[in-house]
Formats: sequence, structure tokens, C-alpha cells
Amino acid sequence: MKSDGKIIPGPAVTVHVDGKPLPARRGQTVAAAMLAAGQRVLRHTRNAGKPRGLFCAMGVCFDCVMTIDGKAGVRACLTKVEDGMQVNSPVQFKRFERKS
Amino acid sequence: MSFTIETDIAVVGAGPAGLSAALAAANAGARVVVLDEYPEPGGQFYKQLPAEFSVPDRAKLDDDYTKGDELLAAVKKAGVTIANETLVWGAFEDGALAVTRRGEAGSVKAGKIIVASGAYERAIAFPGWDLPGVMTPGGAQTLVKNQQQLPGGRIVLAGSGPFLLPVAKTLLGAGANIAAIFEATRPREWMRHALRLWGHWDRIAEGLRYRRVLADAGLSIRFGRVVVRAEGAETVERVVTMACDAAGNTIAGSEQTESCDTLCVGYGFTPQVQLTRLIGCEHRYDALRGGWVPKYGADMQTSVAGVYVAGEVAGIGGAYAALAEGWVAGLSAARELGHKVRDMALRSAQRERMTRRRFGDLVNTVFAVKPGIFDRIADGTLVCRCEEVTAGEIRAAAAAWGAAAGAVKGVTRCGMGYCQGRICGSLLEELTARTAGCTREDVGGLSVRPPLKPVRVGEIADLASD
Amino acid sequence: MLANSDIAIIGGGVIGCSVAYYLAKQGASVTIIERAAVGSGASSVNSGVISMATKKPGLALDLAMASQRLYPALAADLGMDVEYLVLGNLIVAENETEAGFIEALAKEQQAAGVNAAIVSAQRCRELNGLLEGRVLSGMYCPTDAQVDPFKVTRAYACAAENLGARIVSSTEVQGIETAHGRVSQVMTSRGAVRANWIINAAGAYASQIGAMVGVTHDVKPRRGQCVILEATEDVPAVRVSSAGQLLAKHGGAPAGGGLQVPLGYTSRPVSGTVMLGSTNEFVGYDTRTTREGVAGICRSAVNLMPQLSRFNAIRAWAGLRPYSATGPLLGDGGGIAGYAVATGHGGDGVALAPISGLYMAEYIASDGQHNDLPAFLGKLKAQ
Repeated sequence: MKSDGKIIPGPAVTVHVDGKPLPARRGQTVAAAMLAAGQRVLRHTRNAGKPRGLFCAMGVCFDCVMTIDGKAGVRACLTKVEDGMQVNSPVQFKRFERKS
Repeated sequence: MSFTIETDIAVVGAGPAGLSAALAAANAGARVVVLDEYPEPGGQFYKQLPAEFSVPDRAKLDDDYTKGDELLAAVKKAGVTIANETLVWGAFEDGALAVTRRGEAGSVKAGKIIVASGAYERAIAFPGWDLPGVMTPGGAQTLVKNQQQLPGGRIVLAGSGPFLLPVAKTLLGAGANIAAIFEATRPREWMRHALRLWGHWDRIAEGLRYRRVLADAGLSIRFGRVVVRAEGAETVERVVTMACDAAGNTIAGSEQTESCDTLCVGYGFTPQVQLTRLIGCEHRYDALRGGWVPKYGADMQTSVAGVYVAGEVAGIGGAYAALAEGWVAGLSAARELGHKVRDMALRSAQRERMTRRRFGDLVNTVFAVKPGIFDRIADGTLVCRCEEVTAGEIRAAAAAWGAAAGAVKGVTRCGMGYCQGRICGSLLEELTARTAGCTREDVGGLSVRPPLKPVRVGEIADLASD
Repeated sequence: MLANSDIAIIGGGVIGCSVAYYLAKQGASVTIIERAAVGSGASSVNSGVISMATKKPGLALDLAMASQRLYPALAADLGMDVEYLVLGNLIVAENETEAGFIEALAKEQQAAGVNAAIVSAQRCRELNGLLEGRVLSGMYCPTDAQVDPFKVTRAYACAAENLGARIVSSTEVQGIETAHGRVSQVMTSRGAVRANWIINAAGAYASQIGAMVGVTHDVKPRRGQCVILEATEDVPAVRVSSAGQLLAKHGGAPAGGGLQVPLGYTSRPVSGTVMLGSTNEFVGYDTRTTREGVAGICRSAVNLMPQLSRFNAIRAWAGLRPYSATGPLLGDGGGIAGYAVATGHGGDGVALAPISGLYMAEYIASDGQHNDLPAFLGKLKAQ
């Protein structure tokens, strides 16, 4: 995150991404905080396991969905960090195997 | 439980059109509430900093941040309530809007509704467009402006349209390394429209300012080139472009590769009409203005009485058209509620609106998506990002089931994911129309149902009457 | 002239397409006339549930069982996957009245050969871990199944076309003409369809078609609203519904007024989504989703399955079932010669599509002589 003195990010907080602590600043979105730490891959798709990151960054495409504080389908691009927030990459699951 | 907001006029969207409509209506004496999904008002055009960031001296900020200050201040001073983080997800039988605000369900009851829900970037699919690092130009601009975050270390801008210019300026201002800028059109293709620029001096001046910014950075736009694929293992590592002709057909042997870790690619915008569709307003397909647009009269009222539209949702035309249109809608809605509105005020807003729309239409004409770009979408290319459906599956469904967006959706699952067809819907309709050999109107649009965006079951349950 | 075939089927939903398939298989030339797109009516807005547990023993259950027996081989017959999954079905009782009701029902079902048994509240929770609300007991049928309704409709339509059937879409039926005491052609917005037999498979619009030949069909549109949840890994697969809905269906109104929306939980394992619902409303041809309906569905879901509270709803929809108080109308349409019906399936169209198509093929092949559905089912069972 650039810092030129004209704009000062909020106080420091720590979020946890897949169990690992990530330093962040209040006002940052989860996605931006992860990007600042060099993590561009937010999740892998349910069926083909393809990597996905930020696409529209405005809450329309839902590519950035992660499980945040136990709730699935949360857009990381719009969700601001909170101290102690738990962010998890959604579980990738294969389509159901036929039983009969 | 759930909350209720009652007001004279509910404005959906706090971008230029919504804020303008709110101010006009409030000045005329109406009670106005603006409902906006985001934490800070301003929409995309007046993108603000997060409230948690602090600014020691606002005067030192780039005017891109402060250009909306006057309007925002005026709106607040006029007594308008801006409800941030308030998502409109439903419009029900009694005319009330269903909203969710920070995890709490609510209803909004208003005498008039002005939908100013804006637009989002038009997606064009190509191999690798789903790789992390490939994003929309608007997304990159949001990251920098709102989050002070560069999208990557080596950025390629591509697609078509003048929006690439302000994005480039924003990125350069933040110290970005822009490797290349590709634009699908060529200046000689613009020439025949040159006369229509007459009168739009402020926009021409703006365009020349952007040109200066690029020149100062040693950047020049590479015209007549389109991205044909993005490549990389887990993230984008390089993009391949090709030269294209006026119809968008690529020219054999013109492949060039540019290494990068970020690709911002956009082909203009498409109106965000989910709410107007849900309310039941009539729409028509307007390729020039970005896709499906609501039908409306001179007062900006739609086919549903009491529901107005303004700005990009009414057809892509740019921020200045949105401001003017918001003003017309705000005055019209206030007048319909019995407030005093001078004819002259409305007429002058109408004139401004027509002027700005003319310019918006000119831009849309010059930078229209070239047909060849759709022809090139190969069968194996991903179209529905949410449900992972390819162009080939869509074409096969269209061939088997004919020209009906809903049928193709039902069979392929394209459009059934979280985004409910916002990103893929237009592509599904376009590919279906081309496969079946019919028009976009024949194919129709994907049906819209509540919730417009995902809402927790628990919240919806709270709306049930006891 | 738009078409000239042995049989004209009005309605391109799952029933119309199934009937077309079995007829085409017999060598008949068939034209399906569909006013919008194939499967765009009730066939695209249902849960695809194939349930014996909810059927009243008698003709309704016999029909359902005969149809389910055809499903396992269907994908192979039609050459297309229909996602037939045997996931089981649990009907839960929330009060004493309901508990008594399902106990009696289970006995009747067992006597009729359905694999249904009463299970304890504890067992209910083991079968579907989301069931944390208060239930007294449940009726469990492990052999109840579900299919993907889009895929079934598509499979029948494609298979029928491969056998020579023709489907004309976006074609509205405007009238039915007769000659010499028999139907002769269907007048449509795109021309006439000449046929020796006309089958009314128009679903919720069946009564409008019947009126064209002066016949009254007691088939009314009955709206069902549903809510779809986001795809989630490892949601329990067993279908759960509350007995309240069944009580109303089989006689005896549920307590309280207003829109009663009992719990209906249907997992969709292939897509990972869950479907909640549905309502049962007589509102004419109104396919809007309402606040009452959507909120009511979510409220009843959360009451019995509190964990669903944190799941995202991503879409609600509504469709019109072709409701017939007397059950499906199959065979002789009553009225003019050559006019037949295959409609009134209520919410069971997808489940009953195979048997309906098979029966109609027999009916037509016998030139209308074999008009005894119970006898047909008996014969089939004996094979």
C-alpha cells in the first residue's frame, strides 16, 4: 500500500488467512490486504479447481468470495478488515458422485 | 428483527446520478433517502477513501478525490439521508424495497423510487481471462483510489474505450509500471465522427490532458490491437495480442507477447438493470448504450408508474449525462409528489441531459465492441465464471434448444451462480443469438429474481410477519 | 401448413416431451407445439423430487411407483444423463396430530409395498444433521429419489427428435379444428398443424386448451415459490419436509391462517445447492415471488434447521403447477374423438413423466381402446 503522507491508512489490525496471521490496516478490504501481502490467488473453483483472484473489485462478479468469520460467499473486495477476522479460502469440492 | 424506512423518494445508488437526483428532489422540498451498497457514497465516479483512512489536509488530495465533494456536501446540507452499506435485494408486491444493512433485514417504503444503480464493466471472454491478475480497468482504479493499492508490478491495459485513459492516469499517479496500453480501435476509424465532437469542448480538453499524462510517462497507446489470450500458471504472466481490423477480425501473423503480472481489460460498460427488471419495468435492447436498458419518458419515468431511472442504468452515457439525468429525475419525481418545480428548471436540465447524451452516444459509437471479437470466442473458452461453463456448451445448448436465454441457462447452468448472470449473461445471449441466427431481442434476457445479491436465510426469515 | 403428423402434442414440458418420445419410439410421427421454449413452464421450476412417501396409497401411489421403476434405466434409454439420485426422504412431525398422521400413513405405505418406516426424533437428526428444531418423530423412505428436471426434459426432447419427432417453439395454439366428428388440426400463430390425434399436455394452461374443444378440465394453476441456497460442500443429502404440508394435501387443514409455508429441504448434490420450499397458492397465473412466500419459506426452514440461517439465499423463483384435485388426467380427453389429455400432474410432473408417456403411447397405439390406467399399471407390474 502506498503511503505518501497525504492519505493515512487506519490503525493496524491482524486478520487470519487460512490460519496464518496477516497484518492489515483498518479501512483496507480483505482482498486489498491480501494483495498487499502478495497473495493474488483468493480461491480455487469448485469444479475444475482453477485459481481465481480479484476481477471486478466492485462486488459484481463474486469471484473474490471467501468464507469470513464462518460465513460463506462473502465478497473479499467489499469487506473491510477487522482485528481477529478469520478468512478462509472456500473449500473446493467436486461434483457429487452418482450413487445409483 | 427488521427495520423500516419511510420516505417520499428512495434513490437507489449514490453515484453521480443518484446524488444529483437526491439533491434536486430535496431542494424541491421532498424527503429523500439514498440507499447505497457501499460503505462510502460516490459510486464509481466519485470513489471516496475509506472512512477509516485519515486525510490531514484534504486540499492536498488529487482533484479526482475532491471533484465529488461539492455535490456530497450539498446533498448532506439539503437534509438527504444517505444509507450506506444498504443493499436493495428485492422489490415486492406492495412496492416496498427489501434491503439488508450490515446483516439486518429491512424494508423501504417510498412514494417514488429513482433507480440510479449505475453500470459495471462489460466482460469479453478469451482464454485465460479468469486467471488471477486479469481484472477490469475499473477494478484497478478502485484498488488504487479507494485502497491505495496497486494491482500489480507490471500492468498491461487493454480493451477499448476512453475509460482506459483515466485508469492509466490513476495508475501512473500511484507509481504504477504500465508496460503497454492496447486499444482495439484506430484513430483513423474515429475520423468520420470528428464533426460530432463540436460543442463538447470540456471533454476534448480532458482527452488532451490524458494524452499529455501518457506522453509524460513515455507511454503511447498501441492502436488496433486486442488481447487474444492471457497465460500463466496460477496467475497471469503474459498476454498475447494481435492486430485487428475495423471489424475486430484478427490479422494472421500479428501475434505479440507482453509479459506482465496484471492485465486490466475492459470493453466499456453495461447498465446494471437487475432492479428495474425485477420491478417489472419494460426494457429494450440498445447495443449502442450498453445492452438492455429500461424504457423511460422525458421525465425519466419508466413503464412502471412511480419508478424513475437516471444515469448509466438508463444507458451508458458517462458521468456528466448521469448528473444531468439525475437532476431531471429528481425534479420530476418531486413534482409528481406535489412539490413546486419550475418548468424552466426542468427544461434546462433536459437540455444539459441531451447534450451530454449526445456525447455519450458518440463515444459509444466510436468505441463500439467490434463483432469480430465475439467470433473469436472459441468453444473451449470459459464464459460463466461462477458455474464454469464454456462457450461450446452454450453454443451446443443454443443449437439444440433454440433462441431462448432461459432455456440455454437451464441446460448449461450458465448464470446460476452467485453473480446471477451479471458477468456472463450478455455473453450467453450474444452467443445464443449468433448460434441460432437471430437477434438479441429474440433471445431475450435472463430472468431476474430476488435476492438481487446473496442475502442470509436468517435475514430473509426476519421479514416474515408474525 | 406448419406440420402434418399422426399426433400433435400441445405443450413442450416434461410430459409433452415424454409422451412424444414413447410415441415416436412406436413409429408415430409427432409434432410438439410449444408456446414459449421447451420446458419453460413448471418443468423448469421444480425440485425434481421422485417421492413415494408423499403419495396416498391407491392410484396415486401405484402411478408413482410404476414411474420410479422406469427411472434407473432412463438415462441409458435416452442416451443422456438425467442425474437420477436415490437420496432418501424424511417427513418430520412437529406435533402430536402430525405424528399420528404419519404413523397411520407409514402403515398404509408399507402395506402398499413402499419402503417407509417411522423413525425416532433422534434418528431424524442422524439422517439429516441440520435438523435441530423440535420434531417428535419422522417417516423415512430411503428409496425416494430426485432427478434434474432440465436434464429429464432435455433428454426426452432430444431422444424424441432423434426418433423423428418435431418440436416447434415460440408457437401459440389459437384453436383446434374438427372434421367429421374428429379433431383435424391445431391452428397456431405460425400455421396449422394437421394431426389425427391431439394430446393436451399444456400443464397449467390445460383448461384453456380444453375450452377449444368444448371440454372443461379441472386443472388450475397452483403457484409454488422456492428459495435456492448457495452451493455448499457436505450439506446433508436426505430430503426433509414437514408433515404439515402432507396433512393439508391429504385432507385436514394446518393450524393458523395466512400463507402456511411448511419446511421443504431438498439438496441438489450435483450443483451443491439446496432448495427450500415450496408454497402452494391459488393466485391465477401470477408467477411473481412475494415477500410473504420467500420470507415464509426461510422462516420455516430456520425454525427446524437453525444452521441454515447463515447460508446465503441466491435466488428465489416461482412456477405454476397444473393442479388437479383428482390427480393426473391421462388418456381420453372427454369430448371429441382424437382428443386426449396428459396433464394435471400437480407438482409431480417430473416424477410421473416416464409412466405418463408410456401409458399415452399404449393409449394411442390401441386407438383409445386401452383407457384403463389401473389395469395398465397392473399389467406393467406383473411383467
